[in-house]
Amino acid sequence: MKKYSVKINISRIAEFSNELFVITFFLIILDLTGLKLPHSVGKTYTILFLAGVLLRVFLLIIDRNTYKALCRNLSNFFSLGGAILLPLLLGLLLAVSTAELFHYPGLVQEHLNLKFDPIRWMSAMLLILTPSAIILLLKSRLRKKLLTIFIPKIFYLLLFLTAMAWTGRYLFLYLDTIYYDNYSFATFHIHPVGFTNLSMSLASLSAFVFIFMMLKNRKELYNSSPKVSDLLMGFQGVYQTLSLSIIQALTLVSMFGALILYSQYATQKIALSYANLHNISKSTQSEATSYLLGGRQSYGWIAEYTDFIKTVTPDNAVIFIPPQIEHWTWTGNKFFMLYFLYPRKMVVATDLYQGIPESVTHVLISHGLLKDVDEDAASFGWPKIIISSAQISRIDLIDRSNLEKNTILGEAYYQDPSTERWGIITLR
Amino acid sequence: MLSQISLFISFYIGSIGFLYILKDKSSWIEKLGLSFPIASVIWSLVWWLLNWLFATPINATLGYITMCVSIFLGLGAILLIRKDNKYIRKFTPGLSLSSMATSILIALLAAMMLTNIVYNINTPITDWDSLTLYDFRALRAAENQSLEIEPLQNSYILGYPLYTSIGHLYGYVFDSHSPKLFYSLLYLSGILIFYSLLLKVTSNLISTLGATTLGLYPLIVQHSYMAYTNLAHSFFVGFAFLYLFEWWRSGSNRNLFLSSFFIMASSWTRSVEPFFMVYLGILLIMIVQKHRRVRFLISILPVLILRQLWEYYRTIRLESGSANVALEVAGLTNSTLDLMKTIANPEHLSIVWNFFIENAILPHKSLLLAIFFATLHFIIVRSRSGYMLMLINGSLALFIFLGTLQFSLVYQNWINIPGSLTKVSMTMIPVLIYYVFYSFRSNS
Repeated sequence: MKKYSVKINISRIAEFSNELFVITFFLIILDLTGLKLPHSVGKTYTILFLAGVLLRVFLLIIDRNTYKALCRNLSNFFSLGGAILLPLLLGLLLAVSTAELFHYPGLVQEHLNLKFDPIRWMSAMLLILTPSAIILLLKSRLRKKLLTIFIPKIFYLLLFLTAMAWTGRYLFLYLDTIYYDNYSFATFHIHPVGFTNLSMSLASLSAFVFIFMMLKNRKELYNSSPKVSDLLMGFQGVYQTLSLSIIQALTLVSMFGALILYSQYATQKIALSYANLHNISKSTQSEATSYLLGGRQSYGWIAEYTDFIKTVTPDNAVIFIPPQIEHWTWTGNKFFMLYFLYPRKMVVATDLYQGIPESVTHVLISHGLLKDVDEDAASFGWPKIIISSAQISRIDLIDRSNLEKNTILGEAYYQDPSTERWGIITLR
Repeated sequence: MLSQISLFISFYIGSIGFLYILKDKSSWIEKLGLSFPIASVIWSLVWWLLNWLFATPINATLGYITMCVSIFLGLGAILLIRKDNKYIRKFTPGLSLSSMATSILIALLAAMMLTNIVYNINTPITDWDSLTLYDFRALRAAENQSLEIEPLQNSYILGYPLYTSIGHLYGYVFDSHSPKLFYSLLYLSGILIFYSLLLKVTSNLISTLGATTLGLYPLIVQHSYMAYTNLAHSFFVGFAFLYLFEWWRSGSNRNLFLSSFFIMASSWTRSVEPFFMVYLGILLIMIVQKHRRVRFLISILPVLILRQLWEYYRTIRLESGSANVALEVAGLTNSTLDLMKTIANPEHLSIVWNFFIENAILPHKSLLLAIFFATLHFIIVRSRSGYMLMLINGSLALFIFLGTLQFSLVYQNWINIPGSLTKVSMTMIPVLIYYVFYSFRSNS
């Protein structure tokens, strides 16, 4: 790297960045102990930590040798810290996740009066400390045993446990969806959400193994005697012993964090897919559509409703439908209604009170799909105009809750906001 | 159902044969990945043109003919041209930690893909845009054995090209009720192509990690379950740029051909967002660097021809076609003028900017940290290819922002449909993830 003749006191910058890290770590530890710190503290230490990293990078660009030399002071402190904190964190994390699995998520946070989710924070800390801990383990006297026996065993165990936690999560979510909400807690006293945290903790642990696997020049590492200067913050150690640069290691860690989130989403999607498939396995096409759109009391109603309309109208019917506003964004969409009612034709009203055009043979009765608690009840119900009995040949109605069908003959139609009505008016 | 699956298998056989004829030297994973997009796009164009120009009915017979031609082409090519095993990547089974990690990732990805296929085969379509447009068109075309029928001849439906609708027709012509299988296969192909693209520049582990990231990316997973055009469009635009980049990096003409194919396919999937303009810009920069003007012309030809053809098809079908075009031109001129004015209007600009950040950037915040570090890496090592990828990503983001700005001027209700911006921003995902994993290249 080219040397720049910039007159900056590099040693001051290095010291300053070290100080930033110390402050950050103390703040994190204070936060973890549950002291009532103001909200801005959380933001502050994130900023401080990032500022520290940026300063390091800046130094790296300016002068690599000075950077290395000046980073020694505190490196020892952090890697030792890593070695003590890591097992402690591991134990705590597993204990907390397991406890919450059988009681309820947020148990620890509530009882210790913490402002943050301890599991998330511990997982994040683990990710930060993992590299330094790896280096330290590698340089210890036990290294040969560690490499040949301990690490692979931990790896297999972790993979197994992560897989189990994921499977558990999937299984109980599946049970909840096919039976009823809260089924798994009522029956087994287990929270599916607890598995989320457990799998997250386990997945953070596997970061440990993952970074280990990126080691390429492992042999050199065994033979060299441990150097304290290698161990700064873990990342510095990774930078020197892996074939990855410090920034690539950071990229990898942040990508790994993202991947954990994605896997959680994916496993949840897998579980819900099979639960949905189970629930629609014995239903007809329109029942399945209804279920997948949220059921009869939600948008799913459209499937069964249009099925009914098809049975009471001929193929050449011209149906007058509400304008696509307010409660009629679905039933007022010409193309949407056409999908279900083709080959019948749709005529869309221009406003809520428009009279019936001449070409029309049927008028849709649509209450409005979703009931919003805040909405004024009077705003529901279409058509809003009165249609005299002379114009009407018959009115076919269907009950949304029990699918009961009802035909009215020789009566005028007028809108009654207090009753929910769905159906179709056949004009003379 | 069985016929639909046979048709898709014949697509694979046909394309692999096609790639053999072209003496393509890629790995079998890449061939497998490329097969479905190539075959489905080409056959959809063929079906459309046959139906339009010769009024060929779109029915099971056409499906079986397609199947026979595909298999004939594929088997013929494989039998005629001597198989060259040299290029087939051989896997040596081993139980190292790295291969264990790879297999775990692959298992996760495989579970996702398998679930996706099982789910998509067994569930009906419930997505709004598909109900009002893509699937509606496919159903009506299947009933009437033609795309040239009355309910499909209006400006709303003709505003969207036919690719995914014909994708549904691949099932409907055989009376199969699983049109969504098409999306599962696209999803599968996308991941395979992405993996093989990364494998050209990094190690097996990193490529698998990259492919898993793409395959499990929430927005991509979500869209692989939906009958929307966005998944196909994102993959096609992404791969067009990635193959273009690969061509720029390695100079193989095959990559330019594939890139030009994918950008055409993206225009055949969605014509509303003209990403081919960004493509032309990037291509121009590359050409200036490499002095290859003839290839430039050849590579942009497919997309331009297809767009013109589709525009012509649309115009002659809309009753007031000429008036529409005139209106569009007037609208475009006006909105360009407005755009100029808006750039000078900081208030509107800041509203659009906030909207853009909230709906196009923040949904991808899980990637931002990695992107930041990858960028830092490229700057420190002064990687030229890194800068090129940065340019591609930057242009895509800028294009989406300008598009939002333009849209905010022509459509009053723009601020109430944030979802569509997020869907458009999905187009950046393949290139962004590639960008992050490309930063591991220098040491593999």
